[in-house]
Amino acid sequence: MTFVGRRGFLGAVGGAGLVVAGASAAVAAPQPHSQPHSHSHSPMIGTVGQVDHARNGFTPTELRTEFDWGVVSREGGQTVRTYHLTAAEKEIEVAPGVRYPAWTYNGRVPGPTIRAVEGDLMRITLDNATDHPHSVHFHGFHPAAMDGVPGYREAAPGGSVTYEFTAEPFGLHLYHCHSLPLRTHLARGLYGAFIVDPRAGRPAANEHVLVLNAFDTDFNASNEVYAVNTVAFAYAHEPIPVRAGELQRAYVVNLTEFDPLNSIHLHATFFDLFRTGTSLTPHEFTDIVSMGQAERHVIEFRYREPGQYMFHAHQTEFTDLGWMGMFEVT
Amino acid sequence: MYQARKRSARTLDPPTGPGPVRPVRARRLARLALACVPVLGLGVLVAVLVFGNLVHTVSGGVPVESVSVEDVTLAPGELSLHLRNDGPTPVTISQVMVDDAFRPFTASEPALSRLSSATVVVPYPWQQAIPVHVALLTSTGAVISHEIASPSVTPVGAPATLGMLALIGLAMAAIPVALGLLWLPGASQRAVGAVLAFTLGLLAFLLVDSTAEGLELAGGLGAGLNGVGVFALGALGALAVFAAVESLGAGRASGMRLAWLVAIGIGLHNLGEGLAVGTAMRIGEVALGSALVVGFAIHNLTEGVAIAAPLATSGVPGQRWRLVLVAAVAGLPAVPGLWLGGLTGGGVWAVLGLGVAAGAIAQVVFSVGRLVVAKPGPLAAASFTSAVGVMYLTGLLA
Repeated sequence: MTFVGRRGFLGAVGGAGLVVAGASAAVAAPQPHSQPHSHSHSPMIGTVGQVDHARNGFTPTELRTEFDWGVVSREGGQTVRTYHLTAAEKEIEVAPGVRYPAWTYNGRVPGPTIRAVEGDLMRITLDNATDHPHSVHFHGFHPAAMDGVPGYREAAPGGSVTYEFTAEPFGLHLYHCHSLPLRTHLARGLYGAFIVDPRAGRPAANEHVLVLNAFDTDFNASNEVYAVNTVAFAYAHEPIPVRAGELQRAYVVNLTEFDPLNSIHLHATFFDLFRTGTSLTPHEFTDIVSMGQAERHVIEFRYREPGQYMFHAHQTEFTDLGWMGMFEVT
Repeated sequence: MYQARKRSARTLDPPTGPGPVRPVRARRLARLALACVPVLGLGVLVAVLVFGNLVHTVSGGVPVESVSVEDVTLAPGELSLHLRNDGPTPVTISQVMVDDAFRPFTASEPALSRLSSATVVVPYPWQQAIPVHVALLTSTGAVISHEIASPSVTPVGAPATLGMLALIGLAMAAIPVALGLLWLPGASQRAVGAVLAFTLGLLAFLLVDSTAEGLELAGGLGAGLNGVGVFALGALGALAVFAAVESLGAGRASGMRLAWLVAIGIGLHNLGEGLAVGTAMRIGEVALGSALVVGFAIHNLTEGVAIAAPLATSGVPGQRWRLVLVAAVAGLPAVPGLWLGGLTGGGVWAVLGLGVAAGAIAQVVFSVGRLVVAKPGPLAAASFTSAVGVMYLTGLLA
């Protein structure tokens, strides 16, 4: 033990009063919440209370299972898909009682999972209902004019832009706002998964969208709350129901800011790893894959026996801070 | 303007009552009205600032949440944080993170209104001396961070704990002061000036010491409690009270009287120091090593000398028991200080105590200083300087 002298000894009494940072960007009037401060359901969940999904306007199940295929039409023999995104500011409860002033596409974080088939013509309109310029930058092939970076189709506050390109290559991609400062626009929640299916499709499976993300709630460039699909421990509170033996396919996209690396690890099973989803032949058979920022992989797996199986980041700090869920196998 | 209107009213409407009464009453009324103007004006100003939300309009900002951790108590497998909202806006504690992991907790009052307090209890398998970092996440996502540098079980008010704290208090203050007092000067009148200068040096050092300690602790208190203000309140209040007490007995200046004043000042200093040490022990920031007690003991021996020296001016009193009483007044307050600090976590009280000590000692420094200045000389200067040096060197031990 370090010897602390009389000076340091007496000085140690104080040091408690801390001005809390970051509140200037937070909500105007913090409202007392009525979360019951009792123990959580599961001993594996560290947070206390429940998130009000109705108030958020989306549920963990919707974020995991819903796809936006666009409004479909035909033009000269080509399938045309029209999508609509609105950039809007919205307060989102990311952990019980903790509200984050997010920037959203269509009122949710992550934004809608945009899905098309390789070769489809995509038209995406962005309406900007915020006070900042925003854009949508898609990963994938497209002309420079459709890049969605400042100077190339950025929507001014109150403005609107439309992007048009052919969906390729097939695989698992992402989209995000590319307005400056870039880190802020991503960290605040302007991103989503973008899936391009191969023409012949993939084998039938129970599909899940898992966007790995985190929130810097006190705006000091490091995250406080980690999650898969925004809400800490969402799939630990409500385990994902699956059938034993059934093929599961997860579209895993890492959109964590501030931490360079994230990962996904499945308990008690292994998965076929299709890196970036751009090949139909698996690259690896494993139970963990590390992912840098904006990296994304398709993983396919089955559970052999009924039971509850955990999945989480193997950056264990993230696990303890909300990035942990369960599959309920029946 | 008011006067002018009054005068014109009078010309239009001549007084009906007896001549001299009316102007006197009017003048009195006018004075009363003028006296009310600042109060009314301030009321209007405050109303405009508060209800007009003027400050927020100008700054365009949102009030910053601020919560201070006033006390931490540790029991096996459990941390308790005692919080006070010392910011301008209500704060709700939504989640608790310990060592970068969310942990279940209970809060006596999750929503803290301004200046209200709450206790957050977190079951946690903390380990002796392994640092613990606690972060409270508010409803707005702000983080209140608190480090427990060296956790150990918080003393509770058991007789054994009280006894242990009392022993520490006796060892670090009461006994050394009494021992120092035994050096009663058999000094000749020639050396009196030098002995008093020595006392002055000791006291001046204690004044600086109390001020530095008090302000250091004040800085650690939450911004809303204004630790420096608490210190100033204690110091200036004590200065005034001591000055008044001294003036009561003016003209009866004796060595014994001065010894009493010095003893009371040192006693208050030891009370404040006991509070500070007790509080530090309580919050588990440091473990009290025997070296620390030894350091305090040697340092405080010199405080006994400070009391003894003034007696050289008038000689030792006939009743020796009075010396025991003087020693007790100077040294024993460390014991209740340790109790209060160790059992309740008295950060604010420690600041107030050290403030009172600084004020009291300042007054004693004036008194002794007057006597020393009356008999200046190289011997007195050397004596003064060596006293400061002794205090500094013994202070290094602790």
